[in-house]
Amino acid sequence: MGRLNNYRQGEILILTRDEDRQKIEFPDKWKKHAKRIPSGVIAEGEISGHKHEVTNGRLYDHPEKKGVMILEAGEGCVVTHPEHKPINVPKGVFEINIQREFTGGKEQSRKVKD
Amino acid sequence: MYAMWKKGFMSGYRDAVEITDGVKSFATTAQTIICREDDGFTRRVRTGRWKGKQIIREWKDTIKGKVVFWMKLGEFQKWDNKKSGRGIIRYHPNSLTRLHGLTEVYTHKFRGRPGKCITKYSWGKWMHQEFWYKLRGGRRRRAYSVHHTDKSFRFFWPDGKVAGQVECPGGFRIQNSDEGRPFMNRLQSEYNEDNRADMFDLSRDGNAAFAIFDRLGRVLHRGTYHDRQRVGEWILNRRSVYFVRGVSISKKIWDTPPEKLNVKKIIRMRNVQVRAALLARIPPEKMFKSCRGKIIHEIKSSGMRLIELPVAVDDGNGGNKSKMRILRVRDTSTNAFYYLRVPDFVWDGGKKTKLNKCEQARQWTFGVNDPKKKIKFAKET
Repeated sequence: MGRLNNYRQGEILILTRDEDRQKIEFPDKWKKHAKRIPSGVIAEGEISGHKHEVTNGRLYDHPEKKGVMILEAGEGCVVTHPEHKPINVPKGVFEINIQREFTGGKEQSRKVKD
Repeated sequence: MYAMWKKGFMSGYRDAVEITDGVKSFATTAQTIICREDDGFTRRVRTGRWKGKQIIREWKDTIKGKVVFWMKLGEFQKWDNKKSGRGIIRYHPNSLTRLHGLTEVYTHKFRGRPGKCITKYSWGKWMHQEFWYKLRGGRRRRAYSVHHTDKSFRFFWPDGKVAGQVECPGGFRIQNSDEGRPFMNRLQSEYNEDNRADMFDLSRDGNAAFAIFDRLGRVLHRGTYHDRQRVGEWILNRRSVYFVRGVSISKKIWDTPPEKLNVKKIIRMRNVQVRAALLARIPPEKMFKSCRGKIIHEIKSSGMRLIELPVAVDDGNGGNKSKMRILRVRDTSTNAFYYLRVPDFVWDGGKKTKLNKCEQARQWTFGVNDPKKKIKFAKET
């Protein structure tokens, strides 16, 4: 399996795990604690109601990083959204993060909401 | 139902095939068949070896004794059951995946009325669809007839009055899940679920306009899509709603002339869609003048701009020493501009480093705190 790539769909970032890019298996240490998101919805538009959705892949809450998700992409995994072109994700394990913006103050940054 | 496999169709056939309602799908390699059974959330994958007709028995075993599809390549086949009604369908002689020729499904409903839906395909491509209401006394009346190259069409109530019209200047697009069903029902079902009529999917390029009338000919719903986003004045359930780039805004804001909108107030809004929608109404020159903004860096090819506004921002150390910076980025799918707030500096190894380039600021929004590092994307949509 070659090196996995990063992808972006709107504010959704589909990133390879930096620490072990070559590994595509779901780490054992996460299996017990990662909570599955059965709907496969990464994010939902606050106003439009449009969703970033995963098909042919499993989505989990990251057990160690707050606000980050894990995507276990299977064969033919696709991330879709009505306003964006679909992204075909190769088989592997990815981290899903959401773009941030500056707020100032103690909080400093927050996830972008659309 | 029974499966009938033409000898040799498996060879060289490698793509996943959706067969029934998007619920069950098959994928094959030369030696293996994989069946995906989707019960909503979980997806089970089973494999079996290709051994001529024996595979049918294996399918019966693997899918709880039920064969999921009846198929004979290149010939018209009929089915008749309570769930999907009566129908006739033909697959292309040389291809398992592609519908070819005529598909009729008799017991479907359009706008709650039963009738016959006739769909024509060529090499899997949707060509034409028409729906005929079934009336009393064996009479019938056409509800609509649309060809894939049409730019617009009207549909009618069973009494012949106009029920609505749809315009798609770039032509119509019908997806696989609509095989043999009245594609207009997708629009109607979305009304029933959440009063939304997101029907831009019916158009090839995301530009569409539609109007739906009640029995008395009054407008019930009306709207326009541009680049898959609602725009302008819409009527939903006879009420006016105003949209800018897919975002609903109040009538007060809609009626406010752009020169009276307060840029600083808009930039402080939480939702980026609302922010982008409102800023889109203001001409760029006016935007800079009104808040005395300064362009720090610009990449003309991508339309990216790093703008500094004379507005003090808390830098996290208790002092208002930072200035508000806005990064204008272009969405590659919709071509619309979005405005993100970014910091004017980051702490890099205990040292204050200014973010003076558009790309540095963009990388910061991806979570990269080190201005020298960069995330590269294989695909951005």
